[in-house]
This record gives sequence, structure tokens and C-alpha cells, in this order.
Amino acid sequence: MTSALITDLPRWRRINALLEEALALPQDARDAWLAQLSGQQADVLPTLRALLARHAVETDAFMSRPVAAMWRKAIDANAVDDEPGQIIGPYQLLRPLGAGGMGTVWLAQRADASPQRLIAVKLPLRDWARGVAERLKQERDTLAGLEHPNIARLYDAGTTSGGRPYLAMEYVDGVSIDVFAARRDLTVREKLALFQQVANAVAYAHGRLVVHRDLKPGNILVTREGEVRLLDFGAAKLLRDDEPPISALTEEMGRALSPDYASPEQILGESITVASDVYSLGIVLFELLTGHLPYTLKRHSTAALQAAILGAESPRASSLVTVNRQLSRELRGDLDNILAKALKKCPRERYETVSGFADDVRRWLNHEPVSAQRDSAAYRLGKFVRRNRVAVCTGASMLAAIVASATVITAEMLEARTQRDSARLQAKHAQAQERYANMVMEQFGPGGQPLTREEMTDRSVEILYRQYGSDPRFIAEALIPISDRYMELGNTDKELAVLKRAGEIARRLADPALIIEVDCYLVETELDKGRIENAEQRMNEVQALLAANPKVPMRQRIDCMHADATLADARGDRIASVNRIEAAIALQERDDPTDRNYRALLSHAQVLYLYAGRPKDAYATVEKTLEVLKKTDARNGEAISGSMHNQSLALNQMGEVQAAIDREREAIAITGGDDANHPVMAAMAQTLGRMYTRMNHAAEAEAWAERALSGAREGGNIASQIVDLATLSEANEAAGHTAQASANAAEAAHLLSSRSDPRERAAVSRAQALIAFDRKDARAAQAAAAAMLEALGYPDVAKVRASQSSDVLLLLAARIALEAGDLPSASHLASLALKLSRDVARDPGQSATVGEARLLIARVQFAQGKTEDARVSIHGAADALSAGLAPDHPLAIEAASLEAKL
Amino acid sequence: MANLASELLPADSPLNLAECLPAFYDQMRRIARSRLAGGHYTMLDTTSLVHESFLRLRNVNQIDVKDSEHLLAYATSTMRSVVVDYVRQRKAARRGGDAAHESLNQQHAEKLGVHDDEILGVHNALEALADIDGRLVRVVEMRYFGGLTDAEIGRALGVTDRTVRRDWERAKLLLAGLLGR
Repeated sequence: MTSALITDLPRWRRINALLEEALALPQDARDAWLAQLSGQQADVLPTLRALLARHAVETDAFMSRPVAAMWRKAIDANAVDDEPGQIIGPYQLLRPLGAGGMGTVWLAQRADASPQRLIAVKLPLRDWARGVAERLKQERDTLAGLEHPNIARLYDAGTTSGGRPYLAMEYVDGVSIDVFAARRDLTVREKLALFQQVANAVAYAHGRLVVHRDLKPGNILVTREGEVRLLDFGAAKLLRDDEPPISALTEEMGRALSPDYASPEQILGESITVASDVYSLGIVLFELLTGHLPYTLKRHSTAALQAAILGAESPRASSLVTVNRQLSRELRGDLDNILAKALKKCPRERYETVSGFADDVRRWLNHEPVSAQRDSAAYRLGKFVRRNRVAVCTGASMLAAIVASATVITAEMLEARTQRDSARLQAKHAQAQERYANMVMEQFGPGGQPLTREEMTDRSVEILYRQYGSDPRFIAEALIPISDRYMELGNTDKELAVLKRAGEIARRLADPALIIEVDCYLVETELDKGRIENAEQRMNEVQALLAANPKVPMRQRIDCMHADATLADARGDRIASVNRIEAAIALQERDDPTDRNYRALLSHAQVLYLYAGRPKDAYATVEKTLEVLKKTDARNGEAISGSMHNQSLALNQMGEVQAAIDREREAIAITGGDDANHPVMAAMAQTLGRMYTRMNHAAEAEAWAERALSGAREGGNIASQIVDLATLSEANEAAGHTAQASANAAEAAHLLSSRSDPRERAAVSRAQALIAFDRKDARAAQAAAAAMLEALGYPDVAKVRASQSSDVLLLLAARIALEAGDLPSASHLASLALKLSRDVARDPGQSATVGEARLLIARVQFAQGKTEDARVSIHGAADALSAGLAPDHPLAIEAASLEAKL
Repeated sequence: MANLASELLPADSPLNLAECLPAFYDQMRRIARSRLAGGHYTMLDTTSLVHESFLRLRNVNQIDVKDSEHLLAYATSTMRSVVVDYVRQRKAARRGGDAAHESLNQQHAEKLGVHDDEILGVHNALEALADIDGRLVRVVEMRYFGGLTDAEIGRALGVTDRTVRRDWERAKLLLAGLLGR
């Protein structure tokens, strides 16, 4: 087609050809070239000259501005369509309030003469109109039914006669919450009070089964009177694009979410639940309190999104505001923990409900202790053990299937999702899991009241049976993590019940791997209930199955070895328990040392070594654990501090008491320090109580022992209470608070009456012996010492060796015997103590126990007149006591003075 | 408008762009719009827009390199028509009375007007240029309307980027000449 512009096509073609030639020449050659153009080209000469002259001018504006940018405006046709005065449904548009992520918002009023109220009318993007109109029909009633003082009402939603959907909402005259807080320079408490309004509103909506999905400061307005109004509830669900995503990341970009506030699962395109709102609220609160986002997400890069998803947990809020010391101090500890819990990458680990989140904020405001961070941590007699049954989050594994790329979307990402037959089946299964998780998390009580965690778990079981009856394997697999939940909640009966059901299904399916998996968990559960015979029986069955099915995967084998180790430990067979856990660890190392289970095994091994009286191995295992944690679970403070706590116990067992105290305090520092009711914290407090007693720092000892006791009481842990009471009574005595000492010792003895654990008996007897000794009541002291020795298994050396910290107890008994004049007993006890403590010490020259043993032996020998022997024995005692305890410790001084005397 | 699609593709190409023309355009618009809505202004880069639109349309998991280059040419041609439509509408609106909320100050409006005129002029002149030197038209579409780099254009057209630059310079001159500037 020829254009009107051209009257002479051949002429212009000639110009084109000549121009090409001319432009190939350097600038100064062009004039010459023009001059020698033949007469044939005379007609085009002027044009050529003009064009070349133009070319020589550098600052030609013609076509210099990129038009590509206009593509944006061209695409967005809304601006062209809507005008002030325009009628949309029953409303008249007044002026635009802004363009949001999903469309434009206009200030409007009713078009008829009815009493004027200002309304905000939201008009979604034109291209999405079709989908929105349909969804409006379904969602409108739900959204309009949200009536809450802190939620902007949805008055109306419909479509115009022209088919355009619109939303009519309450117009809020206010500013976003971050601006409000900044303008009024609010304190932390005031900000939290505002936040509670927000949380109340969200919790209310959740009770009505509406998830917000797009919580951010821009959607949280505050009026001049300081009242919060939440905007756009559920709008994100309503106003999204219909097109199914090619990849999860595409969905994110097509959904107009604010990536900075979106939860990891939203970014990954997984199901959105209550937990997503918890996360977004967490980010909002974090920003409100600190002024920063925990991390800024670079929007354009897939790699950046990935890094944020896979990366470490959010930094602690207090660490981001170090410049403002007062603020940092306020945030440190509980507020840090509250935020951290809301911002966990894994939805399961966050607050389960917004109410839970708000409750903790309320507790903080009332100076009450906040709920602890939960993990699958079991807590046994002062030792930190971490149990880990199933992989909790699918986020990481999903992402592993998506290949990273610097450019936005490439074919490789799609390649990763190419369906091969088995992969398709697996995908269907994964979908079922997602749907189920979604269903469960959106369940609430009939009155809109959030359920307790146990009720939610019960409900999830109901749903499971009801909805998935046709897929028994799915039920069995889902029941395992559910049993985990009951374990956390402390309901062993229900834990057993679901595991048994899972076992039945597994047997019906005749799947040996599944049977073995379930049965091994059952072993552990029976042990928790103290039913050792049941556990043993089941274990035997499992071993038989394992022998008959060599193809059972490694994971189940390792799980069973683990359970077997626990069983041996419950039976008191220390050697077997350690051997088995070592075997399990070796297998796991060979199979997959990056598996979370590896860490669980290592942490259990720490404990078993400690029980087996092998502190050197325990210490080494902790080092290993910490390395592994550093590589994989970098910010899991609880796991790190738990391991350090066990290491402190090991140091204590090896007689390095001061070092143990230092380590314990390091461990406490990692937890953030203030969670008085945190189970690990209680264990640490217990240990510090004992160690400070040994160090002769009575006041500190009392304080820590008190703390441990209140923690144990809060947790209802009888075993710990007994030990804590015993420790406390010793500390009381050392501090001179004799009445309290007696009272606490008596209470410990009382609690002991129904118990059978020799460790507890030993602890109580020890306290009684010490108190009696201090009060110069020789007979009572000896009686208590005798009881203590019996609990230890004395004089059976093997039994004594198997009891932890027996060396210290032997020394107490030796001292009592010495005071009573029973030199042979004293000598025997002290010698045994020396042998035991030397065996376990890293360095006998640093072990206070070794030092004290030598001191006592020297004293006995001195009393027997064996001065030479005494001199040999005392050698090095003072140094060891100085190193293990402190140079100014009474025992160190005693040793030094005795050495001087000899 | 010159039907570049059919010009670029060999007759036996499995990809019948003429067929999916409207759908492709539609797709590009939707994606661009949703990215815009998400505030991802810089994600409007043509290459990825094109790739994604194509992928959605065809539901395949890989784009053939050759297709990709053809698509780029096609996409920029599409962008040209979109922008031109828009500019025409804008001009009409401005002529018809108040410019609504397009611009509040007169200077700005004038600047827009000048630029709009240039765009329309270029568009018309390109029609003429198509009969003079087809490759130049493609270069202008890709660079002026599509915002592609010289390297990207070179790859798509199978020439060096130096050639692209020279073509661009020449095209500008010819267009200016055609427009009598």
C-alpha cells in the first residue's frame, strides 16, 4: 500500500541508497562526495544536502524521546474512561482518591437526592472485569456482612448496566497507620494499642471466614480520633486475575500483591490461610515498631524472591534499632520473640490465630510473660532434647523444583514443572495436601470464636476422615504430623489414638515402610506414657518386620534405630542406648546429613551421652551439632541455645564448673533471656542454680533456683520441681535462709513419695544431707548420705558410674564420713570419686571434682598420719579447684592451706 | 498497516501468528497491565512480555529461538498499534473539550501534544518507509515503539548492532524528510 506521503517512490528509493552511501563516509568526506554526484542525481541533491545537514546537528529532538514508556499509559485505559461526574451504578464519582494495585478508587456520593454520605467506589481494572463480576456474586454477602468498628464497611457491590463491576465502601478520612504513628510520635505502647485494634478487626473477620490476604500499612488507616479502619478485606481474593498461573511466581506478579508484605506461601502461590494474615500483620508491626522492614524484597528479581523465601528467619527487631538504645532495650526479649513467632517462614510455626498474636501483645502490655516459642522440643529432667518427626514445611521443597534465573521468566522454570506420569500423580497428591491444610486452617467455631489448638487438631482429624475416606494412605500420612501436634499439646492419649489408627490403615494397605514408621512413633509414645513393656513388644515386632523387608527405605530404618535408642535409655541400658544412637547417626550421615532428622538425632545423642556419663562425647556432639545448625538452621536460637545448654552440663560433669556457668549464660543470651516460662529456660535456670551453689555464690544460686522452680511449676513438671526444690533448699541453706531450706527440702521429699526415679531420690537425699551437714547434725547427715548412696547404687561401681554426677555426690558422702570420723569409708568414697572424675574429665588439672577428691583423700591421709601420701595427693588439688571453680573458692583456699601445712 | 507477521515468517512455520494475532495482543495487554498494577514498572520489558504471552497462548514449555525473534518483531509492531490508538484517543479527547485529569498544567499539555504529533507523524511516515526500505521500518518499530536495545534488534534481524545503529540514523533522517521537517 502506498502512502499519501509519497508522490515519487523511486525518487525516495534513490535518496535512501545515496544516504546509505553518504553516511558510510566520515563527516568531512561528505561535502566532497556531494560535490561529485553526477547530474542524474541533481533532483535529489537539495534533499540530500538538507538531510545530511540535519544529521550533522547533534541536538535533534526528533524521535529522541522513548515512546516505549507510553506503552504503560496506553495499556491502562482506566484513566481515559472515568471522569468526575460519571455515574457508576447508584453513585456519582467526585474525584479520584488514588490508583491502587487492583484498580482505581474514587470519592463518590449517591447519585439520587438521598442524604449525602461520602463513599469510596472502587473500580477494578477493565481486563479483570469479567472474573470480578462473577466472584462478586459469591463473595458479596460475606464481605458486606463484615460489621466491625475497625473495618471499613462494604456497603454495596454490583455491576453497572454496562457490565462494569464496582465496590462501594465506607470512605475513611484518615492516614495510613505508619504515617499516623510517625506524625504523632507514638510510643511503643501506643503503637501496640493501635495494633490491637487492627488485630481485633482481623480476628473478627477470620471468625467469619474472611482472610484479608493483603494487609499492609496502606490498607490500615487511622482516623483523626485514633480509630483504626481496615480497608479492602477479601478484596484481593475478589479482584484477582482469572487466568491460571503458569508458575507460582507468575501468579504473584499477576496478582498485584505488595511483595514486601506478602508471606512466603503467598509468594510461592500456595494456599492462603489465616497464617498468611498473621505473617503480614507481623511485618506491619515490625515496621511500625522499628521503622524498617525486616528485609527489603527486590521486586524484579526471581533470585531475590527466592533468597527471601529460602533464607534465614527474620532478624530480631531489637537488633535493627541499635542506634536508639532505649527502643532497642524495649524491644529486646519478649517483643522480639512475639515478632519472630509471627514471622516464621513456616506457617505452622507462627501464631495459629490472630487472637493468639493479640493475646501475647496484651500480655506484654500487662507485663505478663508471653507464650513461648514452640518447637517439637521435649524436655526431660533438665536435658534439652529436640524431637523432630516430619518435615514441617513444603515451601522449600516446592521451591527446589523451580530453577532460579536472573531474568524474570524463562522456559527453564516451565521445564521444571513438566509433568511426567509419576510426577503428575505426586503433584495431585501435593494438591490434596494443600487443599486439606487450607480447609483445616479456615475452620473456626460456630459462633465465630477461634478454637483452641487442641480443638483445631480434633477438627482437622474429623475433616480428614470425612473428606479423604477414599484415600486411606493420605489419611495415614496426615495422621502422623497430627500425632505430633497432640504430643506438643501434651495429650498422649489422643496421640496414641491417631497413631494406632494410622497403624491400622498401614496394615490394611500392607505397606511395611508405613507400618514401621507408625510403629516406631508408637514406641516413643508408649515410652512417654511409661509403658516400657508395651514399647518393647512393639519394638520387637518392628525389628521382625525390618528383617523381613530389606527394601524399607533408609528414613524409616533410621527412625527405628532412634526409637530403639530411646527404648534402651528408658530401660536404663545406657550402653545400648548410646550404641544405637551412634549407629543411627552414622546411617543418617551416610544417607543425608542435611535432613532435619540429623539434627534431631544429634541432639538426642547429646542427652544420651550425658545420661551415660560420657561428657566428653556429649561435648563433642554439641560441637558437631552447632556446626550443622550453623550450616542449615542459622537462626534457630532455640536449637542452638539448647545444645549449648547441654554442653554446659557436660562441662559441669567434667568438673569445669566456672566454664559451665559461662557456657550456660551464653546459651541464655541467645534465647533473648527473658522467657521465664520457656521450657529450655527453666532447664538452664535449674543448672545455674546448682552450679552457683557449688561455686558458693548463694544469692545467685537462690535467684536462679527460684526461677527454675516457678518454670517447673508453670509447666507442671513434677520431676523438675523435685530437683529444683532440692537445689533451692541447698541454695537457701548456703545463703543462711534456714527456714526456707527446711521447707523446700520437705516439699521435695513429699513430692518424691510417689516417684521411683533414683535420680530424683538422689537429688533430694543430697539436699537433706547437705542441710544436715551444715547444721552439724551428724546423724541426720549420715542417714541422708546413706540414702543418697543407695540411690546411686553404691557400692556397685558399675551402677554408680552409670548415674550422672555421682562423683560429686560421693564427695559429699566422703566429707560427711570424714567429719564423722569414719576414715575408711571416707577414703573409699573419695578414691572412687577420684577415679570416676578423672575418667570423665577433659583435663584433670581443670576439674574441680578431681581437685576436691584429691583434697579429701589428702585430708583422710593426713588424719591417718600418712603425711607423705597426703603430700602426693594434695599436689595439684588447689590448682584444679582454682581452675574448675575459682581461686577464691573456699575449697581452693582449703586445699592451698592444707598443702602449705604439709 | 504493513502485515509484518506474514512477511517475517516462512510459509511453513508451525506458528500461525495471523491466527493468534488478536489473542496474542490481548495476552500482552493483560500481562502488561497486571504487572503495572503490581507496581512492577520495570518488568514491562518487551522480551519477557513477549515470552510470557507466547507461552501462555501456546502452553508449551519452550520457545524456539527463531520464533522468539519473530515474536519480538511482531510484538513491537503490536506495541506500535496500541500506542498509536491511544495517542489518537488522547488527541480526540483533548480536542473535544477539557482534558479531564490528563494534565493540570498547560505547559505539560502542550508538551504532550507535541510528542503525540510526533508519534502519529512517525506512524504515518513508516507506512511510506515500508515501501522504500522494509528493514528500516522494523528497526524503528523495535527501537522507537518497542524500546529494544541495538543488540536485541540485531539478533532479531540477523545483523550486527552497528548496522542497526546506522539503520536507525538513516531511518530518522528519511522519516524527517518524509514529514517535511
